[in-house]
Amino acid sequence: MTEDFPKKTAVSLKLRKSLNLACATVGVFVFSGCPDNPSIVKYQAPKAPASISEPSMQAQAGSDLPPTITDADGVTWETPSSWTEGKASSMRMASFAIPLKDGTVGDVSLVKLAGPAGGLLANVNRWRGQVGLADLTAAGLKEELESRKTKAGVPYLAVEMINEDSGSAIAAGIYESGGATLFAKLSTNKVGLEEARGGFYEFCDSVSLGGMAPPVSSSMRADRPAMDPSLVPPAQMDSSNISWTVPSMWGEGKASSMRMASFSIPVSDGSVGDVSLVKLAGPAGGMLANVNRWRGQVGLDPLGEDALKKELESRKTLGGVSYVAVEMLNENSGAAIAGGVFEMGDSTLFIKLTTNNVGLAEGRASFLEFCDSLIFKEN
Amino acid sequence: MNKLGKQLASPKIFFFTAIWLLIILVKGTLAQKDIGLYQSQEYYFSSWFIMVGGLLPLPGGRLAMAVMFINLLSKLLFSSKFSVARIGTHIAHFGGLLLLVGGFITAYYSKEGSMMLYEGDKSAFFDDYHELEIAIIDTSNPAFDEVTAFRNEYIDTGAVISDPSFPGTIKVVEYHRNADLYRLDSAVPSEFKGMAQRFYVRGKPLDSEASRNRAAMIVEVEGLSPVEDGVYIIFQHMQVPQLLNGDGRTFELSLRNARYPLPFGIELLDFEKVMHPGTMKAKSYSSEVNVMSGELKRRVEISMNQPMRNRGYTFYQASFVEGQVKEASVFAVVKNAGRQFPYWSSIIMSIGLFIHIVLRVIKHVNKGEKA
Repeated sequence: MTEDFPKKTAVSLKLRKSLNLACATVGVFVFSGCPDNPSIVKYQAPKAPASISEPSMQAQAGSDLPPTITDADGVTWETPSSWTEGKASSMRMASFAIPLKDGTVGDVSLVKLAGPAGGLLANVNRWRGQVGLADLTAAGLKEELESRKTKAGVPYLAVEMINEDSGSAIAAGIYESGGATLFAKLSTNKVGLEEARGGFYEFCDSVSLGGMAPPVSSSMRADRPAMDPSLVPPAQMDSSNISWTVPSMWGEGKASSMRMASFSIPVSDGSVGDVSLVKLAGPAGGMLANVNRWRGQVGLDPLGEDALKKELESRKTLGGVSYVAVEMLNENSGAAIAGGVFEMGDSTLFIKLTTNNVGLAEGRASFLEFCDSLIFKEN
Repeated sequence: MNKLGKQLASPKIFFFTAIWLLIILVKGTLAQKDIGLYQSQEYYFSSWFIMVGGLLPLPGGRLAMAVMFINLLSKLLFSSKFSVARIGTHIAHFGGLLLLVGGFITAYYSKEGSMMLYEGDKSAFFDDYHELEIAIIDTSNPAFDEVTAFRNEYIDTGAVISDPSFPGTIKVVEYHRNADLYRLDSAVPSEFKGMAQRFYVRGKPLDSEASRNRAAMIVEVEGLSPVEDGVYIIFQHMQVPQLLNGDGRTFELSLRNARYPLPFGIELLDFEKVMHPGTMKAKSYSSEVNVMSGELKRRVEISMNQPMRNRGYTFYQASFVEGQVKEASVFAVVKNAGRQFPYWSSIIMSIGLFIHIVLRVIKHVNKGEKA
């Protein structure tokens, strides 16, 4: 047939047929092809979280985690099989989660601090404050303590506190050795404590202190190159005799004439939370003025004296120094600030985290740990 | 067929579609200020329809581009006269079609996400920036976890999850793409389990910064046991997964960014940041990584202007996290089968237009000579 057409028309027909075929193929591919996004996906994954992971004890110890874990100072412990490993942090040598029958999760932490870490009474009273109990006196403390021994025969102290009204409960084991104090602490509720008590004391009894030494400060690191610094929080000191412990995930920022120190906190949404330490003379305008100034910064209306009281949380550092914590979150913009205010008589220290709602949720614990870590030394 | 084809090939369709695309381009760009880049892209450009006031459907970017594709295709098939004199136009048209095809392939087949690695860490996954999944992880095997992830239509109120890998069923009672968690002051009925015993969820408007949105779900679990069955809360970036026991196995339930396995592993050996001298401004970031395929390891440097491409995936140096002890590198990971289309279609269109111009010039010169 094509021979009857002029040559130009025959070429045109062939071209059209070829293009027809090519374009139809592309069209079918584009419009009828299933998107590469199935609704149900199944796969096997390694036990450790693979994508976004913090440097954990597991990562440091290798992929085959032995039942007994050893830190750089030779502290070892045995983990009950029902516990799951949590994230270690600069403050926490190790963390564990205990799944409980009531659906809650008991939190176990192992924290090592230099020296007596504020003293036994201050620490027990700080925990009692956390469960909503009144402070004990030194005499009252003795009645609460139980002397126990580890499997290796090393004595340690055990203490429990239960708030019968709220149901909050804490159990702890306290070890002193080599100029440092090791705290094993279980935070749970009353029912959870009953359920987890056995496993917790098994864990406490399994702790071996080895050659436990106090945490290493930055200035000492050069003398101890063999120690893995991720296991010990570096202590920092400023010229005004205040020292603090920086969580490992925080980046150090630049100090300035206003800021005694600055830190940045990475947030999972890609933003960076900003932490500042600012010391001002006297009351620096007072608590109400400062909190309302921060509220203005996140776009919230100022508070009155009465409303302010409801927003403030009284806390104590590890050394027993009282301070006030406050948080503000603008639910519309997502802007958030958390603050710790230390009134020190002749001056006021403001610790402030500026971030967003995600950063506040993620950084709250480490921010309060940081505030709790402040140590004020007398001149 | 030919008649319909010629009607579809009408230049008026292209003209009005192009104007409509211009309008939604302007509207979508302006809307980014209020609703953010991602939401604007989804609402104006990636949608088939734009619902004005929730009632009036207008063509979205995807529909407009599909109409343009059909129009150009019909023009090429039913309305064009194939001759040497018009070959340049046809090639340019074909290049335009190829560009639209590339757009569709990218829209349907590309994946974008991120991978954050601390120095010394390894990973064979990356997390989607926006897509979510409900992950049910069977942790009973000591060697590895069995992951079953539910995406797309399962991320919605009313979705029911029932799969052989899980002995019960999970019904999504409430889903919020952005929500806040509030601590409960009073006791809740016994059917509320885990986080739901202490918290409740309240949805809130989407944030203009997509990454600030934190999704949350209230789910009802049935078919495990009277102790396990009940109402649970799961939310994005949750630190502790909800544990469910059934059939002698323990499952972790979580709502997280969709996680895509890679056909190879990445190990971050070292992250390096170079500052401009005397300033705190970063000059360059680079990451030294091992690309692991089985026992084989290949050392590659990924820097700000030097992405790494491997087996269809591209890794860009996106960000970093400066820790006290270790540094972490953040990579943007992109898998885009349509990546090459814009380059090739631009080249094809340029060649087509060049041929067209040359042929026109020759025609004019010949006309001049004859005159």
